[in-house]
Amino acid sequence: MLLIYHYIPTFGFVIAFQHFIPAKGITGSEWVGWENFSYLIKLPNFYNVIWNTFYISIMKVAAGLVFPIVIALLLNELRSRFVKRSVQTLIYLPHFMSWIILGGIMIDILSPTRGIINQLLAVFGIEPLFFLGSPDMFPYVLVGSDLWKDFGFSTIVYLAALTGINPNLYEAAVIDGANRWKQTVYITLPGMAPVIILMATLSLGQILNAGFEQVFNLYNPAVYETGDIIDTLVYRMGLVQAQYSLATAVGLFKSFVSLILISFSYMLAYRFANYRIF
Amino acid sequence: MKLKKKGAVLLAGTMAMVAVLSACSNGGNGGGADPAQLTAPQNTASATNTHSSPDAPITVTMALSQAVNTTFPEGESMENNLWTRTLLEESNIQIKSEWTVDESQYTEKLNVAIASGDLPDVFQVSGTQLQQLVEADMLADLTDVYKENISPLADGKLREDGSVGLDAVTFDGKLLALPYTTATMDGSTMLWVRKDWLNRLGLPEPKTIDDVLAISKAFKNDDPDGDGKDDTVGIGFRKDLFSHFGGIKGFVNGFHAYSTWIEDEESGQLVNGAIQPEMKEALTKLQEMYKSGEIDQEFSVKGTTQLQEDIASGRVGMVFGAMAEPLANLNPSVLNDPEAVWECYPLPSVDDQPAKPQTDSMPPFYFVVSKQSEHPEAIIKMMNLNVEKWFGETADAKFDYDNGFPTHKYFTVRTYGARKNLDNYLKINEALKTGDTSGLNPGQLGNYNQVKQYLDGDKSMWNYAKIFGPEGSLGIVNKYVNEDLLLPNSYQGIPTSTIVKLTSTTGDITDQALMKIILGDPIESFDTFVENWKKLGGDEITAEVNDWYAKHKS
Repeated sequence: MLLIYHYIPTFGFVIAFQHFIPAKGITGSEWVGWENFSYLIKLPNFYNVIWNTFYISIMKVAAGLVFPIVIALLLNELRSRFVKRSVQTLIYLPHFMSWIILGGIMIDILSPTRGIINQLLAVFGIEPLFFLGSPDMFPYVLVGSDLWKDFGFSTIVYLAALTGINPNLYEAAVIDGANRWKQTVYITLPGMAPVIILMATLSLGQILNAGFEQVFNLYNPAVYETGDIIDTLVYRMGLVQAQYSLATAVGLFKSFVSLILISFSYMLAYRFANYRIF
Repeated sequence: MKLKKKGAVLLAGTMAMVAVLSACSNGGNGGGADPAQLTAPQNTASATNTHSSPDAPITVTMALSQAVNTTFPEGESMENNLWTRTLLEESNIQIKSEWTVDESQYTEKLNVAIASGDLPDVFQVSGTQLQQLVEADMLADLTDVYKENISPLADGKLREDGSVGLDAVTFDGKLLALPYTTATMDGSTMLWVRKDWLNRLGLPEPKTIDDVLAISKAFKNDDPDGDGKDDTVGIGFRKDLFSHFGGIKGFVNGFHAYSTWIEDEESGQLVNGAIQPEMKEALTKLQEMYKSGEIDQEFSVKGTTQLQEDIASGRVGMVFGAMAEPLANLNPSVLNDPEAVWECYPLPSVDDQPAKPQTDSMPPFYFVVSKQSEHPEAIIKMMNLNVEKWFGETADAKFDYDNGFPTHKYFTVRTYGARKNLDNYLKINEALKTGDTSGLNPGQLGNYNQVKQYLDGDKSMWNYAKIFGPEGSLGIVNKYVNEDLLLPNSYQGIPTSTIVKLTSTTGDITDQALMKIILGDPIESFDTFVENWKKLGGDEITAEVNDWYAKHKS
């Protein structure tokens, strides 16, 4: 099964080196070597797009690591189980909505004239900001909204990790005179470290996926320079009219970079957390 | 061992799933078809192919695309219905479905079929697919069978677009497809205006671009809705600049600027309209309007939905759009606010020359015959039959709707000609004058009744009446056609792969540059954009387009 559905179709990547015409098939299409790749590299906005992809997704990964850990630690200190559970559920909710819906909501709440965010800012005397229309702010809007959508999910993972820490350690620490803060730094965080590293490793593999659905539903030509990512570029090239070879070339390029990143992160995980797959 | 067992279970499970799924897709064809019926034609098929006796029907395999909302009487399907039976009776052609899929999956499914080389005899293709099939030499030459078999009526319908479609599918003198000739004129833009706002502010109707600018100013500043709040904009736009509804197309056409290929008067060569000085002029005006707030400050992030909402809530005074806008885009506004009156006007012009609305010129899809097919003439007969049953002497209501079933959707090889909606409009209005509805076909009668209901006071029919009625938007299209104002794209070839490849880049920089200029980039950056456009593929595209033009210019 794995062979038929995963490994054999992989050889379809050869069309990245062809002038692929579906009617002629993989065997009949003309070989063009690196032409598709050199065309890509010569695209005027290619470097910009690569940069945007890295920039946006690195920020997303970083924010997506730190923020949920902090929230999980804070939730863990709560006394009331009811509040803890409610907060946990509420922040988890946006995770279930698709970007098509959220895109519409975002456009409304971020509107400079009628959006709730800008009305709040106005209370503090801040001029309305055109979040989605300004190239300077657009990447941060992406990071912020992505964080808002998904931090609930990661928080739950970290909360689960917290429950796995042996309570004896805390009791011992209290006897040794450690306060809450010391307990957090010396027991909780080291206890969570394997999970944190696992999550970081997994997210590094995703680093070239800066979030097609999100960007596609929020961007516009005015913010291409800072908001256009590899996936949206491929989509536009593919959509204009089925340019299979080019799209495959981009896909192959992405996989190659991802492979390097994953190897790198696996190495780190192996060295620092003793995490291993094989 | 354990692993092996697991594998076997998985395999069995998958096979069961496949069986279930394939059963589903059979059912999905609207099937329940009698097995006996299905096998019978196959037998005749093999008989015909070997002996080809003159009386036995010829069998043609087809890929069938089932349009949305296609329903069938009990026991019928895309493969067995009014159309296929009529075809068998009158043209002696038996249709056999190679595969039938939902319209939305058709292109993908066909791409797979093309890649595997397993093509049915007759099928429908997109422009890109046509180009690929031509390059791969997989299509039958229809030149001779067309000449021998086409009926004058069908020939006329296919040529209603000025033969643009038929010329485009003629490669090196060989006719390799039949175009789906349709009304590109329906995409011409006009100006939609809140007439009640005009009246309240005592403004004249828009005839020139200057009028439009004045009205836009007044709609922004003079509180046209009378609620004492500064909450209106002059013209509604959205982020897709060259869309029909809410695009800047109609506005720039008023400055004689276009986003299509036009002939340069001096050189006689084709040039891209988007990089001409007229576009710069139009953009300057748009930029001024954006600065003064006459254009929504957020239009660059708004899509269709958001523009519809703004129109429905009475924030927009004018919008550029096509003849069909009342249907979904303007109707909510009228339903929300009984006082709202939307009126349409021909595109205003910046000077004494009338504005020419740009239109596309290519058919959206084509019908082709595989090179392997033994009966290339069948496709011509199908086209003849379709045109005859829809427009000829034996035309009948049952080929449009029969007992509530949309029988017109059963026809695969078909054409409406280039004037269908316009002709309907003209006939309906004649019938409204004379009161004689006998000359109307069923589709026209349906629209006639909607208009009639509106005229008798049923306001919910406004959307149809505003299109087909006495003051309908098709009246504007009629004016465009009568005064020869429509400006079809001058490049009428099937785009070559070079053009397709380069257009993705040039299209991007065009969208980006025009949008930024409207949002406030210095107008001089237009010149930089033009240079970039030329450098990054525009010159190459222009050369290819002119190669085509040199060959086809008459």
